[in-house]
Amino acid sequence: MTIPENLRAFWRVRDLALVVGVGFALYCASAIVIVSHLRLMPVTMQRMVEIKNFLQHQKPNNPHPAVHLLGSSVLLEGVDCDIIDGELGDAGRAYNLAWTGATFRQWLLVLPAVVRSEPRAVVLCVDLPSLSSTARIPEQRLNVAAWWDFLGPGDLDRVGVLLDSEELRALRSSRFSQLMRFRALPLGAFDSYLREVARPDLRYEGYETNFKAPWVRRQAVSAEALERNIEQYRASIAAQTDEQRSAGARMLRAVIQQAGAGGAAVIVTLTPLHPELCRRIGQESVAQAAERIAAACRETGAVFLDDSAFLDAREFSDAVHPFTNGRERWSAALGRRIAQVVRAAGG
Amino acid sequence: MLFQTSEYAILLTSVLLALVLVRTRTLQHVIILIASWIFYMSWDPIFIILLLYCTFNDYFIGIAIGAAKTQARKNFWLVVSLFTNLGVLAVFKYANFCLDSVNDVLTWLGYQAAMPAVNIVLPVGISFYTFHSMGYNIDVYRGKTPAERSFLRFAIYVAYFPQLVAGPILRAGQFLPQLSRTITFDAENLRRGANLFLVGLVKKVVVADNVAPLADNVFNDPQGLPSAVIWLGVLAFGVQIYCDFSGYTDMARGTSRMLGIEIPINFNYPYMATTITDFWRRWHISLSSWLRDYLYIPLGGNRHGVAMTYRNLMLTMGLGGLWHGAAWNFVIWGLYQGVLLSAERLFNIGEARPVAAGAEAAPPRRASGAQRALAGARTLLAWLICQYFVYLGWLLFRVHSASDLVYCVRKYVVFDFDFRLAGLGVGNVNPFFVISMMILFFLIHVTSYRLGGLANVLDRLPRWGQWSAACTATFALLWFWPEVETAFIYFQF
Repeated sequence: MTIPENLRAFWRVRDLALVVGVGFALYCASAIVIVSHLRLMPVTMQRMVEIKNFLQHQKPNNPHPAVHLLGSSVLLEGVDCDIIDGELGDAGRAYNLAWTGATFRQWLLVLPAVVRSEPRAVVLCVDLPSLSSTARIPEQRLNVAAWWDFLGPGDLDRVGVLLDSEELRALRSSRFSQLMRFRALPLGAFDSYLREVARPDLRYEGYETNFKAPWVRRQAVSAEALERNIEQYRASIAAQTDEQRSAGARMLRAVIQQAGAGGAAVIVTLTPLHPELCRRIGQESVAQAAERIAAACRETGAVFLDDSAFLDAREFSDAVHPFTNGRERWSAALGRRIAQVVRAAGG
Repeated sequence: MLFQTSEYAILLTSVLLALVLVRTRTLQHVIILIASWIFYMSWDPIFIILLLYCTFNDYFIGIAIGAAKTQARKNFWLVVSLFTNLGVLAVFKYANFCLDSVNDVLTWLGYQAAMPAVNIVLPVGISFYTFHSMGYNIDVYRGKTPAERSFLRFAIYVAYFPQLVAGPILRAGQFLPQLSRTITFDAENLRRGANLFLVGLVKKVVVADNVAPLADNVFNDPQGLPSAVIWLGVLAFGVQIYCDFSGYTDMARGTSRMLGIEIPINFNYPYMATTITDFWRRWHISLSSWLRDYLYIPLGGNRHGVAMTYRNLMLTMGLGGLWHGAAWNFVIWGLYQGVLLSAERLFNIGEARPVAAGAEAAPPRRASGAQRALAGARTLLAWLICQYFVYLGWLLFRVHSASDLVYCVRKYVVFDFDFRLAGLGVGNVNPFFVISMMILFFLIHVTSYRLGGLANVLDRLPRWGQWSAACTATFALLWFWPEVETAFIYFQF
């Protein structure tokens, strides 16, 4: 057999390459429809996209100055912004922009949009377990942030110095690579639906676009589950090294500076901790963490509110998440102090 | 270099292109050999020394056996071959296992562990290529195959890249004659090879890699998990190991078919077996037939009475278990298979009654409806019992710690009827997706069994059907390709 004959054999199976190409094109088209347009992805990522869209369109439609609260699930469950609005009066409208698992690094993805929305104040709700978290932003969240342009080219330069090379690579990846990473999102949507949305102990209605009281717990966890939960948090906090604590404080300073870049007042609050968790960690450790945050606030001109001991044991649904009664009391108290800061800042 | 990576796609494309442009057989062989060595060195370049050692060693021993004038000299060279090949395995695969076992025994007897640990990295695929070259010398010794004079062809036989690291274990008599002709490309072979490769890729990437996290999460820390979860974990592992290994074999055979070289099947629907004997005719066929031809029969097989037959079965399966890995759980797994095979022989239930409407399963023509139903129920019952023991075996294969093994076996055998969903305890794995994937796998498995094999069905489809299948497979691959690449399970053996 000659070379041309060999080549002819390959030419005769050219349809295979074509068909694989069609499969590829179908994937790309379906990914654009399913993920980009229908937003079939884990609810937390849907919420991140909605937060970004809300921040982009909120200012022109809102006659009241905004107060944006950033945080993790502690804020999601722990703060009702309607109660804060009652305290703020005409001084502003508060928005709960928390999402599950949000850390300082993840806040960086929405901070430019927060600043561009020109809020009167930004409240950073810091929970002790994530204070020293140095965990990289999950790849899927970075991919969502990249596809929906959370960070413009200028933002990427400013925020980029706080991210590592892997995170930057994901944010700067091509549209095609981002599309290829969409494959995990629909399955993740199914998974998160079963794990979070379908759970009977949570009210999860309108979570993606609810920026007031997004996530309400219907029942507190059992005594055994609480014990497990407290122990898990104790272990994770005890495992934090001095290096991680210093890195956490540095990151917090940078986040405060970013949040206040547009002239907004920045308030940092250390969220409430279950008294039993405080006891096991040791009051001294909690005080040291509070002092690290206070120092960061002093250096950057932010206001620090230490609410770590604000709630009693009956006001928690687990080790760190306030229950209904705790949410109401903490929201009102937080609202009063935010209103003071906003008014003092000229609101 | 895994089959599902872009590096392998580049290597394969380069080899195909180079073979198209080269007209002489020798040059084609050189290309295949270089590609095979590059493929092997992609894991760790230093391992090539071991591969070269085995190649040179067995090439010259084969010639020496072929040229030996007396039986004594043949015997001598055969012993040298066995000694050198098993020596390589003993040093690189079993040294640490032996030292650790001696230390464990010493500690158990109250002495201080004295044997030093040896820091030896297990070269990938070592069990496969040593068995390859050892089998070749035994065949030359038996006169089944002539000693190969061409070093080039012999080196390809040892290092042929599609099957180098996880088989199937080739027989020289099947493989070497195919190298005596020039490789020419044929559209039909290319198409069928690509179909087979695609089937294997889907098995590995879509099924095995998506099911694996569930099995891993269950068996990494099984203590406290209810029976339902242990069952789910072992079913997941059964699906994982089959799709992983048979997927690899399909990709190896697909690649080789594209090059115009046929390598034998390694799996024939093992989960449709109704007896353990039948299972071993369908699972890792190249190893079980190797063990039969080069170990069980030379030991005497079933020719020296009942007691010796059982001894030979136990010895063969025990060593077969040890071949898989240097750990006691593999030995126990092998012995367990030996016990099951012996029990089947003892009660004369080793003959297979294949599930589903195969020709062998067809009831007698004049059988009444009730007789047919009874025959069907018996077959189904036999299948359930066989698969129950097969999956119990997977527990022994998968769980390495003794306490975990005892716990898992207890939960598997004595079902606790605890179905609390919240207590599934499988970490971040989505069990519903994995269960859906497993159900889909079993449906496709049974259907393709009845239709005579998925790749064969693809080959028989009209052109538009093949296009739809390839397009759907590509689409499914892209959607279900896990974010983390997983190596093939059998690479570690």
